[in-house]
Amino acid sequence: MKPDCILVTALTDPGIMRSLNLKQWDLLIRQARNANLSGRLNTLCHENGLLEHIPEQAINHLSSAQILADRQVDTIRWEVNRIQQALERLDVPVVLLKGAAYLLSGLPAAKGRIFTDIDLLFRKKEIDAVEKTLLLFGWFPTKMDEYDQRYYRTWMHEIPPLSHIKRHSVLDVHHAILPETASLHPDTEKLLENIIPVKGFDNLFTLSEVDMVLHSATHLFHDGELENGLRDLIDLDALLRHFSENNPDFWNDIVLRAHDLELSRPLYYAFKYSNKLLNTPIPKNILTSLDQSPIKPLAWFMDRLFSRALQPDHASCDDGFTGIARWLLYVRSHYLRMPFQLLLPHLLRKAWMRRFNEQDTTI
Amino acid sequence: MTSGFELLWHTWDDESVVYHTGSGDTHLLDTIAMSALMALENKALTVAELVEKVSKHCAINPDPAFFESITQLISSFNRLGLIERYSH
Amino acid sequence: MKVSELSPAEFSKRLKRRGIYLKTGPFISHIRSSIPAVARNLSLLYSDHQLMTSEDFADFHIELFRSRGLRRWYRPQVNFSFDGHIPFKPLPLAQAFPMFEWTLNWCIANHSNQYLILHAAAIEKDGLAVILPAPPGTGKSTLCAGLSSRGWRLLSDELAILRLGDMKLLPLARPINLKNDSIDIMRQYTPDATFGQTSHDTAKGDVAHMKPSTDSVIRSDETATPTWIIFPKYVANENISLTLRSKAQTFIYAAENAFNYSALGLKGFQAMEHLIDSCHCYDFIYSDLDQAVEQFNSLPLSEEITP
Repeated sequence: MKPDCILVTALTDPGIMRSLNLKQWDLLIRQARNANLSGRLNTLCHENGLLEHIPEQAINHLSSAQILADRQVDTIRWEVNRIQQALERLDVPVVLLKGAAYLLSGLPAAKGRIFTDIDLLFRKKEIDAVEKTLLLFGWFPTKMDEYDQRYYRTWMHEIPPLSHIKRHSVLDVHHAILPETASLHPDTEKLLENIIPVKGFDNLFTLSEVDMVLHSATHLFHDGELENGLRDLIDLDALLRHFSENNPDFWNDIVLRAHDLELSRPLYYAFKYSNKLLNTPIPKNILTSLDQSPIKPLAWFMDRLFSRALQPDHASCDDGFTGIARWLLYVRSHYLRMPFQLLLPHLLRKAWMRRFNEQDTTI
Repeated sequence: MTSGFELLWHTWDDESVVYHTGSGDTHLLDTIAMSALMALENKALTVAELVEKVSKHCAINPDPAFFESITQLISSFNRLGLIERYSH
Repeated sequence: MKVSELSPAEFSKRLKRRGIYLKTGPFISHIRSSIPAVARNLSLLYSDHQLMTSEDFADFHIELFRSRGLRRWYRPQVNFSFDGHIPFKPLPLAQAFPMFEWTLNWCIANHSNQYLILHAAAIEKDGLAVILPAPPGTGKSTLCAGLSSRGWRLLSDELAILRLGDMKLLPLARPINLKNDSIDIMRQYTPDATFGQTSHDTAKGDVAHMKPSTDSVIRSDETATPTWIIFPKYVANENISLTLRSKAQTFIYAAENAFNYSALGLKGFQAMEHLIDSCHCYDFIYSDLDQAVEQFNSLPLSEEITP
């Protein structure tokens, strides 16, 4: 693996940005753009008083990203307002997950963050009513073929993404944080028991602090395809630093809760990689007490995969193995989602459809 | 008004543009629409109260046709998310 | 160093190997391509532009390359890559240079929210600028090209770039994109100008690019004050006319057709408010280019129209 991904260095040690030359800034801006972290980088420059040391060319790109991030904050607040207004009549708690939750709870993890969609969690028995009501207010299922529809409805922990007919905002409506077929089974009821209200709203909630971290870890290390791997790891780092700052019990609480929800393995990976890449201060005894490291050869292998896939998706950070690592993690994410006898036909079909679509569009 | 969000205006002659900080949309308003939205920005009103205010402000006879046009205006404001039903 | 200081052969070698660092107004683009038509048109139409070095900061890293695979033999295609990502489907190889032009527009319009970017042409004289919005087919590019060959400085024929803060217009001074009949009209109107190859059968019909004047390229760091917003419309055999236009409606039109108005949110509204408030807004109908030039040389500086 290439040792010098300048973005990770700048994120962990912003001071180095004082002394970068133009060529290095060029690379840093490109890596940040591909990793969806330009807004985050801008936040760090502001917080560390670095602006006067940054060349104008780079400032242009950073402010451009910040302006977009600022607009996204308004957009997310507005969408949440619309969602809440639509679901008011249902009398079910609306639970925000991930980015929208960080933003509405005023967490530092939201600063300069790029949002792609809004994630919501409901009880499975409420999903039907929620979907029907959202439909009335203009959120329609995104177009997909019957196979994908069925795949979502049968195997996934969410319904097909909904997209607003006018505003094009995308909602991911979940009834669990992992698919039902997955090897781990965190209980949605347990998550809902501990939700906390969002200030200023009657019926809007987020997961509890520890559950927020566990969900983020699970999404990154057990479910996702790591397309925004570094961005998600930055989220984890920001959450862990913030929650542990004034709460000495936080570390013990989260380890216990992880055990309770069957999420110790993803939490272990979260601790390990946020510490390794971003120097998140994880107490040593906590890491050892969690010891969820898989058997040695597998641990070594997984480490090779994650270390690559968590780098920015930019040619300058890739080595000969990066493409394969990303692909293997993609396969793994499906493997963790569904029983093996379903997996192979599914992936083959996906590969076939992709090939087929390419042919279709270019002829 | 939809709470937590703001309106920004600029008026040229008898037309205005108004920006909504939530939706990020900009709308073009004529004198009547402008007067109605300004009245609602000030405080929540019933349809009858709004008709009275706007008709006075714009010196228009508050006949049934005018009442109807204000009702329609309110429903388009509502659709655009500029206003919401007041229930407290 | 100027592009023209390199021989076409040397230019095309550089473009193919490490790529060139081309300065257009406030942007530097690192461009690579081994496609001969791209090299030829670039060295012809950008000959007055500055080349920077690979030690400089590039805003955009782009490459145009031929599709691989069997198809390259019977239906050659061109692809665009933005720093390793391929955001668009390929186009027929014959459209390689037009593709370069619009993908560079795309790069600018999508990554420069420190500016308000309108879909409009812009020209300048004595520090004062005219913004020409208007939908395609209204003769905007023709008028812009005509004026730029008669003493007006070309700022841009497609992207009017306004700096948030002081709301000055920043020049791009890139080749003017002409379509269909406009190509021959401009060849006759400005016989001295340089034209690139005509690409046939693009999505917009025939397309050719006219080289911007040396003066507008050399002065491409010199900003201008937006003073008039004029919606031109070519109507054959119609009398020339300049009429005041509603400011609020001009605002909405410019906002809806801007590249990034909605991405800027409140900042976009405030910028547009300032722009519209400080400009005189007109509709303009013309049927003869010389008459149009004459009218532009005496644009009113207050909100009244001289007959």
